[in-house]
Amino acid sequence: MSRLAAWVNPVLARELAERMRGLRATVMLSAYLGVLGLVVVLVYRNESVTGRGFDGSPVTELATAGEGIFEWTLLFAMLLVLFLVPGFTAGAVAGERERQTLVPLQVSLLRPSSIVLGKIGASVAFTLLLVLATLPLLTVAYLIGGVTLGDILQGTGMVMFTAVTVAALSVACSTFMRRVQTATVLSYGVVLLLCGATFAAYFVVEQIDSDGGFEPADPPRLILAPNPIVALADATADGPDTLTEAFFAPPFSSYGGNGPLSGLKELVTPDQVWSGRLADGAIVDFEVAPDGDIFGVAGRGGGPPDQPSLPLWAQHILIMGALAALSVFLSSLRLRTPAKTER
Amino acid sequence: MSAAAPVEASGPGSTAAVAITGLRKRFGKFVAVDDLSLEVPAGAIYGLIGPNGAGKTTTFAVISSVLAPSSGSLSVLGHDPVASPQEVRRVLGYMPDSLGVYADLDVDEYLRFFAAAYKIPARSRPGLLDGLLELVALEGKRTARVDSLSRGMKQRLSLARALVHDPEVLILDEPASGLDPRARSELRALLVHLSEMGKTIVISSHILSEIEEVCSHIAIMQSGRIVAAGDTGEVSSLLTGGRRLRARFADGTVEEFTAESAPEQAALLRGLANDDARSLVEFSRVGGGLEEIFLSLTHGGDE
Ligand SMILES: Nc1ncnc2c1ncn2[C@@H]1O[C@H](COP(=O)(O)OP(=O)(O)OP(=O)(O)O)[C@@H](O)[C@H]1O
Ligand SMILES: [Mg+2]
Repeated sequence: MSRLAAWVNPVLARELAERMRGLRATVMLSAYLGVLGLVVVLVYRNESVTGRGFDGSPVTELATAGEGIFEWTLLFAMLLVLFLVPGFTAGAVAGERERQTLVPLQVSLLRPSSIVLGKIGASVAFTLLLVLATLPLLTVAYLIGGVTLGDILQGTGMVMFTAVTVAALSVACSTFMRRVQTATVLSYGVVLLLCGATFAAYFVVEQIDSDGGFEPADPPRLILAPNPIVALADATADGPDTLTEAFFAPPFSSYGGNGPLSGLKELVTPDQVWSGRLADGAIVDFEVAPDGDIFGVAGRGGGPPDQPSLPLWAQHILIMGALAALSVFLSSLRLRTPAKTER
Repeated sequence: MSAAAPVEASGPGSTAAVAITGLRKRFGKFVAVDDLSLEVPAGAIYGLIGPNGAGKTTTFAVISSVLAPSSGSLSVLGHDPVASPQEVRRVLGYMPDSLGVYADLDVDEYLRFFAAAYKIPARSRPGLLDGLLELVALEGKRTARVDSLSRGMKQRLSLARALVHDPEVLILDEPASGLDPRARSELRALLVHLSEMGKTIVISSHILSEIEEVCSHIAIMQSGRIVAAGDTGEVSSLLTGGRRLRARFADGTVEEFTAESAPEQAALLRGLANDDARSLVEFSRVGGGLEEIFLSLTHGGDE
């Protein structure tokens, strides 16, 4: 493994050798798995009891429990990634600078981009380890039922994608800040901006929009696109895909989802106006809430629903992918020598 | 002293391994290196001597393609550190004044990492490491963690790192600082050995005596400028030779003398003071630039 890494990128290999040494990695991995395991147990105990039989004994709806475990596990994996990655990536370049090891690297035959990519790679490799450790838990969800293999792939894919983009942004912070401490603070600031600020901005805009009049509020969803948690919800939680599905959804239930991600998706999905053809041939518009409630006929006639051209998660991948690439580019530029100052 | 190994000429009709012309380096308004020109002959051990803040580190960083010069032109074996830094890095080993070491790596891993960073094929790394560790006398420390090494060992490891790609030119920034006398003499022996291997070595120090005996050439630097340069004998006699002394007598006459050494100066003073013919009023050294520099360099002490 380390030989392969050395062949690919010496910086990556060295980082892995450093990281995997000693207790740090073990402790981190154990803590991560401990938290996740706890989440699964709690969710299972809560979700699996969906009703009581006549004699008061619990009636378990396994599919619901499977979904619940799946969504909770995924959400926690995402939160932990968002919490851990800046912490162990922000030291990447600023740490070399503080230890005065950056100059020897810069005067070697390594390209600046190799240094940057090696740092990102090491961070991502570590996250990959964490996510791989999560797979057994997700498999539990799969075995219980209600979750497809595709869901699992999509979900872990989104978590890994976030690990890569947050690592890239953190390495950029690390390159432009002289001290590890400032780089760390800035990296967490960026994560907070992505997750918190976008969410808050969306609801502020929605509030302003809904004050405007009769129509359902329709804030630009692009605001939410950089948000990794929302993107995860959008990619994994099911929503109503067709009007029929909306009509036949069981009352008081959400569509596919049962768990925090489905809830989140409902929260951020504005009501949509869909057209349906009645038996007499007339075309009628329905307003469909994300939880499947169909409330009211909005008007007659009208064209097909104006769906966004790209789903939110795809917008997320485009935007964050571009930001990550930009980070790598700017960081490499910054590390290029000979430079005007910098040592 | 210098082995004067046949290194290929860096330009038409020149055997300079490092040539600098009119180098100037500014940090904001501050001029750290000012119109510096020097030529390091291939195979030389070239000592750059100067007090703190003279601009030695800055000059080395520019030669080693870490810092871009504000103006001036440079050549390292014919390559320009600004225009083609990669070419310079292939032939130059740089040991900065700070000892950057990775705390969590052992000596072996540390050197293997830099071997990889210099694109040395994995196949030849084990042999290379054996040779390097033997050269810097760290064979016994292969599996020691880098941060557990003594300062002198770290310095030797840092030197081994600079040698990992077998560069023809070595730029060593104060390699002797913080070393005890024995470690210094070992370092000097190592430098001579490297020179005999055909390497051109540029080394900095702020103590002349520390490197005088191994250097084939010396340049004295102060406030960003070279104040004297040449082969070691020349520069030494320029510095020490002929302390200029001035005597003033009661009758108002002034006479100047030169003394080659301190005892000679004392003898001269005794003679003048005991001279009954004219009475000595004042006896002083004629303040020469070089002389003052020499004083600061010889009595500067360790850091
Ligand atoms: N990055 C920088 N920004 C501003 N000034 C700098 C920078 N680097 C060096 N200087 C200034 O340039 C001058 C020369 O510094 P330099 O480190 O080259 O001296 P030196 O001869 O190596 O001294 P020493 O013997 O203390 O190592 C100093 O006055 C220093 O303050
Ligand atoms: Mg210095």
